[in-house]
Amino acid sequence: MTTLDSAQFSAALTALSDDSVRKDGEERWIRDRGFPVRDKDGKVRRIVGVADDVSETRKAQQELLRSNADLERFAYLASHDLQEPLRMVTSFVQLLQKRYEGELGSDADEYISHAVSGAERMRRLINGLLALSRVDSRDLKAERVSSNVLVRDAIADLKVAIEESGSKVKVGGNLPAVYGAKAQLTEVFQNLISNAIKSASPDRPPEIRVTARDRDGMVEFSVSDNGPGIEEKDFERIFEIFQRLEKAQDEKGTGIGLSLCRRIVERHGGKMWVKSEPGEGSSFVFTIPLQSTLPAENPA
Amino acid sequence: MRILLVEDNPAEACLTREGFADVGLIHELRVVDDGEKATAFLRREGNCANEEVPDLVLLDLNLPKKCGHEVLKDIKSDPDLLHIPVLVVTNSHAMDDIEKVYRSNGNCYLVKPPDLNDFFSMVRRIVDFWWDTARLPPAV
Ligand SMILES: Nc1ncnc2c1ncn2[C@@H]1O[C@H](COP(=O)(O)OP(=O)(O)OP(=O)(O)O)[C@@H](O)[C@H]1O
Ligand SMILES: [Mg+2]
Repeated sequence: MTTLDSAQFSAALTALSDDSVRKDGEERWIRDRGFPVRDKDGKVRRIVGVADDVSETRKAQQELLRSNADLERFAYLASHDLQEPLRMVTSFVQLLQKRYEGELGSDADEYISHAVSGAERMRRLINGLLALSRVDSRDLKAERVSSNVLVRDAIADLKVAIEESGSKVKVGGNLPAVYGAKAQLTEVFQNLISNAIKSASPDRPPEIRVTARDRDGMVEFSVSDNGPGIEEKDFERIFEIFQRLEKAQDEKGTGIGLSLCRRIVERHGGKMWVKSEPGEGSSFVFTIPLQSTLPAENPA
Repeated sequence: MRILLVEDNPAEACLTREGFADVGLIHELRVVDDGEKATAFLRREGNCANEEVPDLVLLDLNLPKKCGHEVLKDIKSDPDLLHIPVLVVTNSHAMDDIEKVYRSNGNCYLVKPPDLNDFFSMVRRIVDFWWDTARLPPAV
């Protein structure tokens, strides 16, 4: 048995790893782990090693990254390109309704009104998808914003719904300033408050509390209600796109609201979850950084 | 007042016609369906020799042969045409498009509302403003 000198040693190692281009010219990703086998004098006799062809794993990883980007791009383009045909469908059935309602018989009136509401629902879905894909595909224009202003704007947008439902929205004291994109964060509060109103228990008027506290360099917000609450098994499900609970009363909902909220929060570097006792109400909790923590804005 | 509508989608054009019919101005509307025809119409070239130069242009951005941005540039760089108000009416919400249009001296950028009644009231407001509120130069 021969011993290997250091040149042979490294040649052997290279032989293991240099197979990254196959004979047919295709490039492969190899992960190798080799170690020397020494004789009793400490001389290296052999290199024992395993060279794994990890090309498939690596390809899968890269495809996953790409498919996320593709998916976003798809959602954006699809919802964009769907706008025009959808506008045509909506507008022409509305035109039919406007011009011929009461002239084509009651069956025709009913069919047309089904078509109108179907088209309207489709529009809400597409707009929701578009909003969702925009969260990631656009630059986050973050700035220091007062969360008092965010909550105030959200409440102002919901004025009619709050009044009609007889809801009370209370804000717990002075809310801190955070670092984020104003329009997106307002949308989070608006979605959560509107959900609390829509999901209210029939036997008591909605009471909603918005509070904030500091937590590890983040602000932890909570939007709590006195509604029917949510069962623990549904805690994650409600954040998934298009998922709504059977008892959701409002047939206009699309099930996009909470997934949009969570995406916005995560885009800001925070987290969002729900706490609830069925029968007692729910609290939607999320964190937003106090300061800029976004990599793009902190070039090292 | 004469209006030129540059719109390739016949359904969209039909809807705009309905909008102008709603305010009794259907007869003022001419329609061309691509960018090259738009420029030819405005310059009264070829079989457009007998057309009158419009007082107002409604321009879509997504057009075959020559896109709306190019048509806009043609108009705004032609001494005989640059005085004509050009209203871009499109489905695009893209900030890029909005900026480009105003940088090329487009007079106004409007996004087509998805709801029919909103669209009709947009047409009504266009008419209210450009017919009754604004003063335009005399026709050439
Ligand atoms: N405060 C709440 N109390 C009880 N259930 C809730 C509450 N908020 C949300 N939910 C449940 O979670 C589901 C998902 O909420 P989400 O906001 O994603 O969709 P949505 O409100 O139904 O529709 P959208 O917000 O898209 O109009 C709701 O349909 C409802 O069943
Ligand atoms: Mg919702």
